[in-house]
Amino acid sequence: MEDPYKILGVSKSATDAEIKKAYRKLAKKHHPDLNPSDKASESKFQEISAANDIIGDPEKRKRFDAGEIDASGNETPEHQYYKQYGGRPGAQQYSSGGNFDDMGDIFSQMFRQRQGGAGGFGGGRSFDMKGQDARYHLAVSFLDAVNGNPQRITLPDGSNLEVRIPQGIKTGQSIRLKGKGQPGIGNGPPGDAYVEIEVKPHKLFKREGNDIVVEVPISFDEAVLGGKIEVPTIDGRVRVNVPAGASTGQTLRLKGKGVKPRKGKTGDQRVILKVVMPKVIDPELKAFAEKWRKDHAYNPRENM
Amino acid sequence: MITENDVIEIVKTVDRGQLRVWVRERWVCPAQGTEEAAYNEADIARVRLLDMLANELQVGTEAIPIILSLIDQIHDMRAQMRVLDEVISDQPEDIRMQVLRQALDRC
Repeated sequence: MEDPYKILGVSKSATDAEIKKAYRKLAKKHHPDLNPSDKASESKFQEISAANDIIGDPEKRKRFDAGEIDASGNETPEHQYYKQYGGRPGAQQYSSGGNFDDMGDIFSQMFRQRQGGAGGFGGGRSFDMKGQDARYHLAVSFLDAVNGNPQRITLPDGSNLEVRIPQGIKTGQSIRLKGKGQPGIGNGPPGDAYVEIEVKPHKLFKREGNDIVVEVPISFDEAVLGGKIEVPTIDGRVRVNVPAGASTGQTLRLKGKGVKPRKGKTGDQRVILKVVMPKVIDPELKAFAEKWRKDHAYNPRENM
Repeated sequence: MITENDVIEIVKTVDRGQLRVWVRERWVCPAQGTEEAAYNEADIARVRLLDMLANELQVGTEAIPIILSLIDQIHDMRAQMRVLDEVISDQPEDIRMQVLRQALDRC
């Protein structure tokens, strides 16, 4: 890094107050959120803040001046700026509601469309404005999300809002309820409600893409002999055939028993078997294993 | 879900009182959860921006809504420009060239 005094444009004898003032002035000029269209502002601002981190701190400044620390190794970590979010999905709540009527037909038309107005090229002007959007957060159980069970939100005024959950919705997705926001101004339409979904984890099921993954314990005798066992799926229990000689980690695929999204391919359920030995090894089992080992020993670790 | 507690944990230079003032002023607009406010990534970035303006750069309280409003308008504008850019990019080569040429002529 360059000399921090040079970066902030102050002399080595500047007072702490002068440094602070110089830093603020430069930061206001170069902060990336105040220069959303300027890519270079990010590295410029980073440089300014790294310089300020050293000489803006009287302790560190003393050590820097004494040559105990240098300017390198003081790069500030990569920062998340608001400009990465502004004007994008997830930040609709900060839409200015500003009007681009003076920007020509295309822009004002696009604007009116987004605001849910009547639209139409060269349409008349009025003080009608769409109401504000409302934003809700809804935690949905795992099964309600994969099965698309409707939910209800209670609003602060005590009224209810019915929310239809599309099957297979994921955390972070948003549901738009048209016209369920704040009332409009004049003859403007009401705003929309955006419901952000958070899917709560399930104690058995995990989701991987559209597949449902579940670990199912089987007993030692079931592993040896195979047979039918009952396993839970997202729409009830089903009987599944365990092949004889099944091992822990072996996966059975239940075709079409995964998430059925509105768009895209239905997933499968993957059943991962886990052999669980009895809690107590009784003398009979022990005697059998000792006898069996004599003639049938095998080494599952031969490839390790 | 990111709660108010999480926000003041993530952005350490902002305290609860200050955050609540910002929410009351609607400078930060978290979603309304069943029990408490729920913040998303954009809200956190917004809190960081406000922290920078108010605490680090000492911008006065009266100036903040003006700055935010201008920033929001710029982002809306940029969003619309992006849409137009995408639409023009999807046009056949000759139309794209024609748009570009005419735009350059008028700059």
